[in-house]
Amino acid sequence: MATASPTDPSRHGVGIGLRWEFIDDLLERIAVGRISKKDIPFFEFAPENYLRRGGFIPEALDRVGEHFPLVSHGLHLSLGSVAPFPSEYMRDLRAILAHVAAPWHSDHLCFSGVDGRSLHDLLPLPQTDGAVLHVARRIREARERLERPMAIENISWYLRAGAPELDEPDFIANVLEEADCGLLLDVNNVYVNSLNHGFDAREWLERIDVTRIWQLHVAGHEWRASEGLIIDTHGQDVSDPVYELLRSTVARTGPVAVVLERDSNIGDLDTLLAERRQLQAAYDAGIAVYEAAHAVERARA
Amino acid sequence: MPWSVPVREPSADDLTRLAAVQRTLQRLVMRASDQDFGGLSLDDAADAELHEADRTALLEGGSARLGIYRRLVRATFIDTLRSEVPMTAGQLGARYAPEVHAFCNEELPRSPVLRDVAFEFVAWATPRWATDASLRPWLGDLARFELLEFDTHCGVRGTDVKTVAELPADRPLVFDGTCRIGRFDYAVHELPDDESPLSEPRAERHGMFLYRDPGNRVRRIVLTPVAAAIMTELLVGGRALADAVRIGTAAEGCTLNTAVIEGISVILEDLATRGALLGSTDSPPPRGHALWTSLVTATRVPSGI
Ligand SMILES: [Fe+2]
Repeated sequence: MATASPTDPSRHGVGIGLRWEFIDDLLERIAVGRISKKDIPFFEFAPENYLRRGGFIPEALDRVGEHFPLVSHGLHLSLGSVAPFPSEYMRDLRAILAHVAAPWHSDHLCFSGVDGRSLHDLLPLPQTDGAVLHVARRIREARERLERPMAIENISWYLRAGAPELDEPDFIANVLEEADCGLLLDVNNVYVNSLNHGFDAREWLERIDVTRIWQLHVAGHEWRASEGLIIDTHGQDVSDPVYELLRSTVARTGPVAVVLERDSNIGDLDTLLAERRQLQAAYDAGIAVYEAAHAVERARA
Repeated sequence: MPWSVPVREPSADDLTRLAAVQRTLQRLVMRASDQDFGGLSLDDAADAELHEADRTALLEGGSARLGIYRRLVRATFIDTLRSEVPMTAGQLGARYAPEVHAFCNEELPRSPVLRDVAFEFVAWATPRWATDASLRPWLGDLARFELLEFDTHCGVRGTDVKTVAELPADRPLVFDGTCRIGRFDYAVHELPDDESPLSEPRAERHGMFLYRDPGNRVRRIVLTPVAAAIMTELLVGGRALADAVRIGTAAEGCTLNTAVIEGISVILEDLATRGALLGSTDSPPPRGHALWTSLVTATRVPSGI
């Protein structure tokens, strides 16, 4: 039996990743009451960008947090690394999660460095039983030390990190079971991987236990001819197939937190809000399917 | 928080195998050349521990694919560093990216916070720049100055230290958390921030005290070398006021006289007025120090701070 999702209705629907590129505009709109939870249900923030930091940036986060629910999404727990968690980082991270009363914390199913080095990127883990046990132990440790429920995110990966003993859906499912944690399912990452590694994204997604899904990510990607790969750049609009995967996934999960991630070519807040509205329409369409299916189930019962 | 499933632990072999894969991937990122990735060679310790099946799987995508994380990681660092030390990057011009690559080849960042990477890079690079005749001699000063401003911008306001308004000579002073100090050989703060490669700063030893005002603007105060030495002992060294003045003055080869004491008193009073100096620690003085009575009087923090 999976640990219950800590999500609540205040964080359902499509939120946006908070970025400095539009923070001034956002604060101005908040100040004059020109933006509300009707325009955007919640924001996701990356706590690493606020650690050991004073001044305008954390003050802005506090201001946003006064008007919108927040979810935290980390960048550098390096959950799969064989290196121990840095104590100072864990202490600071725990403090900021407590400060914003984050309902859960998520980070990636990957490693970001070893032997005291930090690569600031998401490198893949070998899909082995040993890696499952190791990363699950680390997730449990993070949950204890951060004093928050933990969710892990599936990454886009570009290199097979050793000989797999499991395929990716089984690898993820085993980690979720061993760690008894939530899944932040990045639908775009599944799609990017499906193109780069040649599998059916829908079939992949259908193998994921929906009761483990606490949150979804959607983002844009781009073809990089020099690499011969699709790269998860978060710098383009969300593609049509990812809209469709969002809709079909929400049709299975029901109400859930979805975040639009945009990290480059961010544009202005209005453009981002327009894309959010389109994604919300896809989300609503998925919810309608979910509600209809559950109405039939209830009628049968 | 208890978990409901029975816990299974990885074996020592599991961890050894996983560590070998991770060290190999990290070594690929550190590899100096973006060529010849096919040669994952057995002469490296991490490589030697790599399971044969893992080596085969890594090579499966072709040798060019082995460089993908090297390219992605370094592209992130090149972009991030440029945003934190833009003038230094501008001055380095075509040398900028190769310098970041050299940092990755030899060192790599250690902090889990991305904005720290620029500090790690500059700390690593400035000694080599200082001995490189093809670079301007003030490049290190410029990089350190840019970071000092950035660090002041990010500083956490206030203090956790219990503070009293008086400044007895035998106690360390307490500064606002945004305060920073640096010492420079060139007036790099006078350079136009348009990344113009033709500007040359004056050669002038000085110190720069920075803090952030209540409106979050970074403020700078230029200090003489002796004042900078004393203020460094106070702010960075955490020394008692009398010790800081004695050590800072001696380090600059100056005589400790009334002019030095009056000068530092004026600076401290100014900093207190600006809200950058909060007072001194409230720990009881271990012993008296009569010589410093005038200093204590002169630098008494205005009431209300
Ligand atoms: Fe994501």
